[in-house]
Amino acid sequence: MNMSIAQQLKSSTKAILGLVLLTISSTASFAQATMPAATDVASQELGITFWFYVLLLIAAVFAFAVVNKTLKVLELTQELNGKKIKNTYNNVNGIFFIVFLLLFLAYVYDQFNTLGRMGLPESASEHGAITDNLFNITAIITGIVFIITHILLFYFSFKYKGKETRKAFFYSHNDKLELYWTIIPAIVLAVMVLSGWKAWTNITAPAPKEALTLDVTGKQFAWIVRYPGNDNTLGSKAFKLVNDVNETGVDFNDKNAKDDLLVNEIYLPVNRPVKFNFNARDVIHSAYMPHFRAQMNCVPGMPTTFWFKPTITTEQMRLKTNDPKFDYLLLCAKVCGSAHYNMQVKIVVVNDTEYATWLATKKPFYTEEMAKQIQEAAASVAKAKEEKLALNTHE
Amino acid sequence: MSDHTTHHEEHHKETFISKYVFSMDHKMIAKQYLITGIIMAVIGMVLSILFRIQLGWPDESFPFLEKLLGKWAQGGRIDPAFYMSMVTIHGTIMVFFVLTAGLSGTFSNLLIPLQIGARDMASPFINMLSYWFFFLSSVIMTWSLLIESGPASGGWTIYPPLSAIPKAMPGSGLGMTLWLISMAIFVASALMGGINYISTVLNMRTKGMSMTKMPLTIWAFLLTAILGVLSFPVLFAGVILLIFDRGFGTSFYLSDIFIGGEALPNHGGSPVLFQHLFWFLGHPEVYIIIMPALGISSEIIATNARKPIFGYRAMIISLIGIAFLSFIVWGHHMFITGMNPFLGSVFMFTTLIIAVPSAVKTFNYLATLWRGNIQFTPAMLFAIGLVSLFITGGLTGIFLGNASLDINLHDTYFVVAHFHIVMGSAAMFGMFAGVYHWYPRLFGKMMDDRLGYFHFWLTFIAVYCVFFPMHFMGLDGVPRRYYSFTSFDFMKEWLAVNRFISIAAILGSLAQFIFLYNFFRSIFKGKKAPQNPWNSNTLEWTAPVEHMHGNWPGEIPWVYRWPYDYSKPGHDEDFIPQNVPLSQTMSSNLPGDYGTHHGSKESH
Repeated sequence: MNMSIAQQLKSSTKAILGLVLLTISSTASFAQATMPAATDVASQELGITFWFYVLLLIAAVFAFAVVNKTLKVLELTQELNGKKIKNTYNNVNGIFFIVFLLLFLAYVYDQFNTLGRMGLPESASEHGAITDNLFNITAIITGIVFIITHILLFYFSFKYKGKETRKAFFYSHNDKLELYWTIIPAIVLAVMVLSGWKAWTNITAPAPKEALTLDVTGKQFAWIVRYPGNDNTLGSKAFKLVNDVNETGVDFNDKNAKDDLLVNEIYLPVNRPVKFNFNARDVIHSAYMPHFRAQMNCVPGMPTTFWFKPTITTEQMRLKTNDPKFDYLLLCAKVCGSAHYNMQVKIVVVNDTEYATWLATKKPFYTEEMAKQIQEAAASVAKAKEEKLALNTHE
Repeated sequence: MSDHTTHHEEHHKETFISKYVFSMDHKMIAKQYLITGIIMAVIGMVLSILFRIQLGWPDESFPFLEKLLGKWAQGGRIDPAFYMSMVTIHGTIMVFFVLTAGLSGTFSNLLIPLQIGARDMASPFINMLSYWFFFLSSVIMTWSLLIESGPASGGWTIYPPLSAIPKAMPGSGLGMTLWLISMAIFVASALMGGINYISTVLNMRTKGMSMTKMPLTIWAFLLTAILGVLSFPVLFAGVILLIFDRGFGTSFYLSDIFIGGEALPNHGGSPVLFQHLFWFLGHPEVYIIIMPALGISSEIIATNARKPIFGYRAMIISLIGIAFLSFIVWGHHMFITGMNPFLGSVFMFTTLIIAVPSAVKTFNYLATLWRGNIQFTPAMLFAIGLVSLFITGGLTGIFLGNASLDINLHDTYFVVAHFHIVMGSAAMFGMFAGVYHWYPRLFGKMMDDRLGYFHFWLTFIAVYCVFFPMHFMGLDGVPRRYYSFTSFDFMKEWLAVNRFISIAAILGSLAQFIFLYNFFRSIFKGKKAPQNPWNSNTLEWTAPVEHMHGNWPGEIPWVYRWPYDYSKPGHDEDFIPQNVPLSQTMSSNLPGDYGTHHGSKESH
């Protein structure tokens, strides 16, 4: 066996090697192209990690070629000695499964330890504490099943790897066993359904009467938030009244609408239920407030609603998360177009006095000046429509 | 029946076109499905790599992207609209074109006639049409990538109004029209295939092949076909109504919309109606994808563990259970659409019930491996990998099926992780397992085992590296279908993880070239396949290696036993094919083998 390396690597290996090298060289050239721009630290780090992975890939390909070659040699020698290669492959793959099992469990543990800690902070809403608890219980139960079944799967694969000398155990069925592993999961799942159902019915129950009611409308690509003002009643709205100024189509002839406020940030008083009336004016959006474990789709033509009770103020949460820049957010979770990835509104939870102070600084949206602007905007919408109709008839 | 064959041979002059293009032979159609499926899978994979580059390096510019994508990646950075298109087409291609048509089309076509002992499909002509409709729809879908306004981009679920109003986003114009046309043709193809599979299984089984002597693959294909035939027409209806809304001014899904500076006249429709229609197909669809994979893995695990599949009857009952329940769980995709909360409770209940038959199947797989004599062919490795992925992804389904937990998980990366593992990767593993196992039957050649091992281990590790971290992103409230995570402070910490995922995805996709190389090389240079390379019991291994019309040269073999007589005590070899009469195996027969009705079948 004193052939040169080039001869050693047969055509099959060469082809794969060539393919991988091609990919590496092409990605490497992209990396070079991006290198001059790498002035800040982050990009330099990227450069390092990139080359690290390239080296890793080369090492992997090399290892691949070596292992492949060794296997081929092994196969030939075993064939010469009249042995069967099958057993060797069974052994190798069986051992791989047990190694994989250990690495896999370590990997899963590591991910829980690192990425698992990057999750959301504790729930800032009353119902969220309950669903978080439910989540944890489900995670423990499924976690146990996950670990046991994976240990069995890979251990069996290792333990019962094929040998020429052995014969499998002819065991076709056991109805009792089937019954057990039908009924036990059924009972466990029934318990989960019942607890989930209880939580779900509480969450989706009608909002308490004292709730603060807000109107949130999604559009491409922003949220429009309306507060009810002093009378605590939102004025009605209609999509035909929408124009550039009156963006959600509020009917200002409704006296309840006259004192409504439009805001850029949502302020919520802590420990008071808040009911969101959701709507969308163009396509479906989804109002997602992960820190409150709250989400509801906003559908054009179909009002939806969701209520919850915030329990932790922004200040408190900043202390808890040890992050002075922490903010609650409302974001869009239903694909709504090209800028779907950037539709956010800040939510600030404050105590009652702070809320009252904030509210006092806000002026109603509807003023005489605004009334004029709305009329003008409505006129231009109507004109555009007329022109379009005229164009249609002309055609 | 043998008369029928001679009749075939006399009158059938084969030209290149009738043999390779407009073939009516189920084996050739299976190959056509497989190769089209592989091409579509490569397209889907390339798209996923492109958007993984965007997610892993959102602030970098890659000049090669501009060369590749032109105006969609000006300055080497992918355009947000085109990002959405790639996600949409990736999903559509993978779900429908690869894992529905590619998986089910290939193996139902190949195995149904061969495993039940039939000369061909019930209607070979409709079978051919089914492939060519699929081909046409593939071409239209791929073509839509090339048009000027870009392909459909509202997500593979194409919820209106986004998909109904061309102004809503660039991809909702011609791209969406092509998507809808392509899907309508695809549905026609799926229906023609499905009707054929059902009628073949029900009517054309060879003598002795009772329903409870069929391999589990056939059960899985039969139930898959029934699901398809009952649910695809509903998608078709949904698509047609959407075409009406887009083109003819109807308002099935549209109401109260102000877009592009004007209020639309549509009134009274409901976007949620479309979601109901879509998911009435969409949920059975995920079982249409996974059930053939489960059938394939049942067959492969039993063959290679050299043991009967544990609980054959329980496996059939659980398949039927899954098939039935899959029709009444669609609402779990819609918990937070504003649907009546009571309906949510009902769907939560049915959804968690469907976990029971899935659990039964998993335990049966484990029991089959127990005390087996496992032969690690590449197919067996992929089948074991499938079981692992099915467990992992199935368990996260319990979170998502729980409406109160779904509030916070809906449309986050947790969902992406869940379905890519349980239905994407698991079904893909089933497809790989099937290709490795039946390659000798498809092409008369053997694939290279060693390359198969490499392919499996690299792919298996890559799948867990790519999708497992996504669970945790979801738990941090990171929504799916985001072009970048740099606009939100709290998502920026996931950049490093995204980069890790992207690199794992790129390496994992490179590993697929090992498969492609192995696949195409073996067609020409593979070792010639022996008659029964895996010492399997099922009928397809009794047919000659060289393909011929009518499958068997003489009479179709008769069937005397179930397909899982592996390692039967008292028999010298560790397998007894289905066509071996009981009279030849007196030393190993069990009392139940002689039963005429199938209560006694189970006393094996």
